[in-house]
Amino acid sequence: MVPGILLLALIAPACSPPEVVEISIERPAKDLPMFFSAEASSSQRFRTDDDRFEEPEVDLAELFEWTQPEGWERLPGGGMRVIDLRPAGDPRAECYLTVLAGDGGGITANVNRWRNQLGLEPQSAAEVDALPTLTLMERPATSVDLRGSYVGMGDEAREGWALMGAMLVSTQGTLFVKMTGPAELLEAEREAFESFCASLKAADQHDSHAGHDHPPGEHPPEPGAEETPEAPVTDDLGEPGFAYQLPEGWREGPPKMLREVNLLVGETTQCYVIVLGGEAGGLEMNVNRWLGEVSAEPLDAAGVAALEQVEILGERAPLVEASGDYTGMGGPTGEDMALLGVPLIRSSASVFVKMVGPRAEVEAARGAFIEFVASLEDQE
Amino acid sequence: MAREKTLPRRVLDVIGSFGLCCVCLFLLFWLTVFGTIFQVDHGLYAAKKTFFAWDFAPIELGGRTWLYLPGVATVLAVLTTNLFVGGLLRIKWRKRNAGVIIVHLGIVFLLLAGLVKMTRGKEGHLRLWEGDRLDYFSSFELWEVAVWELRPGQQGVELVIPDEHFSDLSREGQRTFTSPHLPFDLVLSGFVKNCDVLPKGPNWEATGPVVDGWGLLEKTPNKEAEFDVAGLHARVLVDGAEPAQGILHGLQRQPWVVEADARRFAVDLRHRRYPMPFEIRLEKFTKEDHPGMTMAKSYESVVTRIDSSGEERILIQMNEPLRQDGVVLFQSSYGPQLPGGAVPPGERLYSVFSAVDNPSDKWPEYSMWVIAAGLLIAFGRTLLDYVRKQNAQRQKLSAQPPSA
Repeated sequence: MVPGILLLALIAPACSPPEVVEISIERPAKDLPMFFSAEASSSQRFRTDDDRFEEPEVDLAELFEWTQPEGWERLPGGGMRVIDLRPAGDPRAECYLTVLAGDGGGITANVNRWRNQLGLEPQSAAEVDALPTLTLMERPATSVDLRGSYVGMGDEAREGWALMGAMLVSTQGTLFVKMTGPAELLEAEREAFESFCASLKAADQHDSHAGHDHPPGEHPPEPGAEETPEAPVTDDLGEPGFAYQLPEGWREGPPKMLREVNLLVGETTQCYVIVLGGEAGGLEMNVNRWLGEVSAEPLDAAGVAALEQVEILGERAPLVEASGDYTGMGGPTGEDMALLGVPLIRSSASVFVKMVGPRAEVEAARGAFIEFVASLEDQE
Repeated sequence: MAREKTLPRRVLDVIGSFGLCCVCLFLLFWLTVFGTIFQVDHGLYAAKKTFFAWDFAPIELGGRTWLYLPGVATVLAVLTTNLFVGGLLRIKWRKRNAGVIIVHLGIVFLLLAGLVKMTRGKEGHLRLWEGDRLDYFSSFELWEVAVWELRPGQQGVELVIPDEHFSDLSREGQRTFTSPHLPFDLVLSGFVKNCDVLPKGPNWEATGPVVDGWGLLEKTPNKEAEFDVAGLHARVLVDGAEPAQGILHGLQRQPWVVEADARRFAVDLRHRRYPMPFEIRLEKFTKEDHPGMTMAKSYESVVTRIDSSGEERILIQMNEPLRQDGVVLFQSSYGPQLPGGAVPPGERLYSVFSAVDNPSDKWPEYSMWVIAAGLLIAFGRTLLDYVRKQNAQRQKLSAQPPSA
């Protein structure tokens, strides 16, 4: 009997599915093509290496939409430059978009490549992580603002030069927007540069929504429906993620693997939210893992139960506080660091909110951290 | 007077009989022989699909089918039942049989492990450049259709239709897929295991409809199924609108984009993806060549495994895989490669791992321990009996007066 039941359970999926099937597998979309035309013809979709079917190469610039700042000139570009602009019409300045496959070597390496072009010392990964962000392709992108003696590709050094840049890494490619020129000119064009970055987005994918001004992450209203900006965000596809109140002085960090929310606080402090399937090892293990990251003594079950409780996603969870020399993953490492964490363990999926940084910064942000945790709202 | 056996008892006797066990072993032997011969012409994947399946496997010799044998899966299921009934139900549950019962339990468990691997195991590969990270691997030969909404600046959730829901669809067959998240129904039809997608010309017949001047040209499946490129027809049904139709092909450069209810969705056909319970990041890939040659002598990868418990740096090399939570990652290859294994100059190397997700990964090891324990008990008991008997005989002999 027992083997029979086991066999049936194992064989059952081999039966032919019915004529109408409800799609049951949903998962976070990863590694999706970022740069493609929604209007592509079959010829463009199925281009072959056979000369008979050769199609003209797609102009990468056609895959983007942007607003050209007033007074800037569009140049023909060429080479690696997808979009080539001349800020303020000044021939000394240039601003262009390049797209590379893969991660292009990574953010840290590229920031330091740019720093090197201005004769500046390289930065550590933690320092690069803490760089401010600006909006590019409707996502937060790492922003770079450098001054120095600029040496471009084979050029002579130019004193008093500046470089403003933004870079966005995705698994489908990496975007770089780089503006160089005399420092005073670039300072005058800073707003134009930021607005150009903010205006840059994938073309075609949302033509039907053109003319609407929606913050990233929100759907446009249905045609004919009344716009209600205050209404909670709805998401037809069950978009994972959280809504939250961003505490004053905190800022959005660049997207990072595993992190649903990635925020930067003060100079180098990071605060982020991770969601893991199931109980992810349970409460005690996770609390002690965090404590171990700052070499603090582990707690037993009674010790964990005695921790201060805070509100998160309509439930109560312990607030873990510890300080010491931080050696954990996903944050700045160093001495005299502090860690704040709230692990919400649930059977379906567990949520971990963690802040780590220099002790003084973390202690100053403790109240804001608790408010931030309480403000989290599950968008599913 | 001997009591006549009831019908259920007789059936149980047959199911648990030594004879049935022998028949199963005999069939397994010949299935292995013919499966190996079949593999020469049809490749490993086809041999596994044909001979390790539940249904009957054709025994072909000289281009002719001589007979059909039950598939390995069926025979193993019968053998498992036979061992369960014969070795556990019919056997007398006495202390002296404890070893034999434990051995049978171990064998049943071992066979179940194979069954679970066959039905629930997943195999594939992942390719990483240094610094890259992934938390899924892709199947070598299975496909999936993924649907996601195109929204600016977002990568939300994708809906996935697995291979087994459309790979049985012939030219005539079709299946409708629905979801409350989609404002349309997706109809898939005409799955072709290996095909090209080409502009339709006069000299060839397309498999299924020609869309926008393009059609699918069916090709003979490759011996190595991972070289096959699948194709499929798709239609989108929206209330009150003309159905849109498109071709999905495994090598398409862009997904098919459909519009419904003022929203746009991408539909893609790609190799099936299996999520892993951890993420892997390639830190360093090292390839060592034979002296004076471009042929690899050895290659290995230093990776970081990342999960909720933290990070762990691990070296993966030949015969030393990463084994975690039922997933095993083997160092299997690297690229890009020119014929002969040389790397094109100036190219960044990537590392290729074979991945196996097998829920019963550790079961064979456990069953070996159980079988070993059973054998130890069974043979130990036999040895003990023998020693006791010898002692008794020796005492008996020593008690007898010496003969004159």
